[in-house]
Amino acid sequence: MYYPAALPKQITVSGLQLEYFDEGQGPVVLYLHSSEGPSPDLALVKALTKTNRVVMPAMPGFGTSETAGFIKSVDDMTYVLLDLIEALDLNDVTVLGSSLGGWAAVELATKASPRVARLVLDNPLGLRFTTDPTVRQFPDIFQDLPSQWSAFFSASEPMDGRDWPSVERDIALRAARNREMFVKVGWSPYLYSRNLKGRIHRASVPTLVLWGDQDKLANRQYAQDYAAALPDARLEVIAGAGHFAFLDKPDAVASAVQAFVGSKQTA
Amino acid sequence: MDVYFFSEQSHYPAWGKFDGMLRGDIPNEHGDPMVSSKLLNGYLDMYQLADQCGMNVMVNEHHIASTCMNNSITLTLSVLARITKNARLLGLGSIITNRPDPIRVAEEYSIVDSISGGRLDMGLVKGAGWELYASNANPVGGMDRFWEAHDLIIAAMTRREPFSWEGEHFDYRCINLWPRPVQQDHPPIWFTGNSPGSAKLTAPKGYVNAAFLTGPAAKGTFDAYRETYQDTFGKPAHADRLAYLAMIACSRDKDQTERNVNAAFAYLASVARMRPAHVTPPGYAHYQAITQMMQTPPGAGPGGMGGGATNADDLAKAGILFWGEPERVYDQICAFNELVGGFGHLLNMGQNAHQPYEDVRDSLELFGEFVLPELAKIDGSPAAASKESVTA
Repeated sequence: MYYPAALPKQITVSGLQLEYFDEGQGPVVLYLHSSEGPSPDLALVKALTKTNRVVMPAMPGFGTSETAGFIKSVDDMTYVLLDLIEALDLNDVTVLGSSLGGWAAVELATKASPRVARLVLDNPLGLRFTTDPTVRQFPDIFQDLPSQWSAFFSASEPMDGRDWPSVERDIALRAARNREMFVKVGWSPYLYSRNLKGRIHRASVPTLVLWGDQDKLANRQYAQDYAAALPDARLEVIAGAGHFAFLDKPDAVASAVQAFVGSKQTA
Repeated sequence: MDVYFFSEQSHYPAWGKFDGMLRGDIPNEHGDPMVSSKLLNGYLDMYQLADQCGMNVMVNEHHIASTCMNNSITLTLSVLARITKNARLLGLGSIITNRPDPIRVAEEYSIVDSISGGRLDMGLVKGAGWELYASNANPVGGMDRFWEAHDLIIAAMTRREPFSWEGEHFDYRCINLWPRPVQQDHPPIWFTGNSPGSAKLTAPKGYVNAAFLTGPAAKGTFDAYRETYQDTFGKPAHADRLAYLAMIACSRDKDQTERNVNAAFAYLASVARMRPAHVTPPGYAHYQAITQMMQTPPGAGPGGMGGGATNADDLAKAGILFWGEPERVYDQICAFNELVGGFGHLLNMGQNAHQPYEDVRDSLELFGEFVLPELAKIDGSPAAASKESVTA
């Protein structure tokens, strides 16, 4: 599992100071990170910056980005992200989101900003299709220690190899803060929104849903249902990837994004 | 010093039927309803006896647990309000961090105070981490909810006209508490506080701070309380602002002592049977505190309850179990009281695990006859506070 890391830039939107990464040239990809937070060192980010301008904020409450009392849900966070898109004057944006970030990407798209052109959802959370109230959509990782979450997130690194006592304080603080914000927006309802299903038709931009066939958190049926719930989406399976496909198969995810965006290799 | 008898009211017969966690995971199929019924009535008998022996009583509340069947402080206190005569009735406490309806807490506590004629001590607590899995309240922002619920309960008990509440976490259209509590403005408030940080939050309110089974670490907690109280009110805190909970078992002979000590160890063993993730879920503590835990190398943190005690003497020294013939129990309590700088309320966790009624009865009778009158003589004045803390 990767370590969260600092992002080089700062911007204030919605009254909140956010840290963000903005590198590369080409069609804009707004990358919304997973619950483990952003890092410029992610192989996916490095691959995409060769062909695209990659804007990657730490979402409110993650990293050192500020949060506020009015942010209680993933949906609440997306208003801040819309402000970020406008503040940076981003256009023809491809919103790419992994896991929690995929959920945020869909919530954002329902606001129908003309600046958002397409979505790539890398194993998105956020919806519930299971009808029996006694059956969970996802296994309850919050009943396990955060050090055990890797088993649900990653097919390539089911054991969390991170050595927290040895890392710099700043890195550990980021990780603890990321987990806290993840729990805040994901605790109840557990990793989904009751409201999103009723308005997901507004996320009408062309959408690519990616699903890792080794995903231990969300199964194939979930991914199929997710793609079907969106007005203009297709599902692509990433072989050998777990829930964090961006971590397990970064090149496959990058290629899928580049093909979907129509990016040309410039490097 | 006064004393409150307490039992966690466990369903201990289930513990041997299941290998896993005794909270959260243990299926309730292992809890025979008729056994529960018998046990709960037995615990009420013990509480009634404690009252007859001159003690106050305390109940706690947990959920999803075989280690504590009492899932409602106020239900049990309502019964005790009728079947006890003189005991003060301490609920420690209602988990207002997780209750969606704090006014219900105010209403039910008010009923207890009313029926008992003003004998309620009103405990309001944050609750253990695993309670979040039972209530499904969000671990993040719990203390914000706690303080708003606290303010709301005080307002409900003290305001004399119907009022509304539109806060950050709670909304009410019409609050109008009937009946009012007998104790005006409101019954005494108790918080649990097992760390200096918690005590510093309790002291400015002047509420009672109770430390549970923390052993000598209670000194740091109590010192923090005393210092903050002095800073806030400009006078030393009376010892009756501080409480300590320990297991206590008086016995008539060696065999009974051995049984009581075994029951205490059985309780301590049960404490460990909990999912590690349930102790401190992300958000339950401030992320800086959680970072500190993450960066503490394995084995370097504080040990478990009792500091790894393996025998009865260790348990007494650790302030976990005061045991034996009454004189020995008295001496152990006095030594601990001196060690931590003095407290005014001793919470007597006097029934543990499989400890049967007969042993609890003997313990209560011996304690009531020989120990309680001596403890009552312990000066609870502020002079009991350690000098360095008062002059800080």
